[in-house]
Amino acid sequence: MGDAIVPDACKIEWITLTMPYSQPEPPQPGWIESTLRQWGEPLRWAITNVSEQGLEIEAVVLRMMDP
Amino acid sequence: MIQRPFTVMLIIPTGIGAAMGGYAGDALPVARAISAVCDCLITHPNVLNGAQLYWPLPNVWYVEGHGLDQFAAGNWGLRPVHGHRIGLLLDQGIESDLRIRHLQVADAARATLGLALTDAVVTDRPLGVTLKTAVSGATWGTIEHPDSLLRGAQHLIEQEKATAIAVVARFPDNIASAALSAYRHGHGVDALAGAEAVISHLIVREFQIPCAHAPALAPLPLDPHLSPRSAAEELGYTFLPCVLAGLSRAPQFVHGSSLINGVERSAVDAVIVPESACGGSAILNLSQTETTIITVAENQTTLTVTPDQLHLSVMRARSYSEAIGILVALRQGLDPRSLTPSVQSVKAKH
Repeated sequence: MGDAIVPDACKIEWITLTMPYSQPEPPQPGWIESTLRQWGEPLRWAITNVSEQGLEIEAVVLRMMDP
Repeated sequence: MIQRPFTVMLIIPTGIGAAMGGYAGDALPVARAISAVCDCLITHPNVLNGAQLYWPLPNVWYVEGHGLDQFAAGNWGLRPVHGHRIGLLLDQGIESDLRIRHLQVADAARATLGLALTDAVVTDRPLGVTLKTAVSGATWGTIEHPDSLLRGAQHLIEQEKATAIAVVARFPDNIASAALSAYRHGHGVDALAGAEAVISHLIVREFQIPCAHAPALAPLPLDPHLSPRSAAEELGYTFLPCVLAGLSRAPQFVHGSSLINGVERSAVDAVIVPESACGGSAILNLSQTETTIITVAENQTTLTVTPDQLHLSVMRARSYSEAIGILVALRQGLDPRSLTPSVQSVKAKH
């Protein structure tokens, strides 16, 4: 069971970002998730497009707000 | 001879307008067919939920999406159960009559299905669901008070001793919207799906117990042109029956030292996914294992993320029928390519 309940000062946010990627193998989910953690705890994410700029990712994150 | 169980995972991401599975449990026939050729089928509520309609499948495991992702990542295992004590969590924002309708579904589940349910808990604030559509065409949403959702779930677990949570949140009624009209006619994207996923993901992430969600909505006016794919959601007052049925035998999540008591991702022999939706966490994690990834081309979605773009090694099927044929071959230890007219010679490499 979880240790803490999400406090009032938090938000669920949708973010989109593009991550450059040119490796010849599948991208590592851990690498994507560690990048997403800059914005919050990822609840759900997916690569929604692959373009010349890289991997376009849409994600829902749980973000703690400043008090 | 002791055989290894043949385990398959079926993924049809919610909220991306999948031609099959993007509506009212319309991928349930696919799940039923796959379940007939495997020992265990692991799939998520979006595939099995048909509001008033559902189908009991003893060898199918109902696993919430976040739990599925954690399982595919190797972080969690799945342990079968005989049954759950289901806690019903109702959004304070549901109006009185509609709340009664949902409680009556719970009553019916007790009396007619014999399910074990706790008393329901109402959240201490309206959850405040909002819906949006992303640039990709996928739907998403958020809730204004995630803390209230989690407090309610915690109360059900600690005070009511619930071992699974069914959440009902009040969703916006957009009766006149073009998106709803398209959905009712079998086109477009389920506008509710993204927000529904967020709600259940929050609970599963925090408490690591089975969870599923049913939206509370006002009844829609009769539409004589309703698509068969959307019809299951307009048969009654709620979407809750399938959720209670599905949760009643959903596997427990295990992790850490308890992982050995559950089924781990290494047991998954094959995973089936729409060809244009290969960019999810579960597929990318399973691509690093021995699991065979089978893509289905005719289940088109709003996305265009194909195996080639991500350098994924997959078996390609045009349809779910073909994918099922591949599963039958794999289960027999056959190379599916031997079932085609041309078989390549074995070459010696130096």
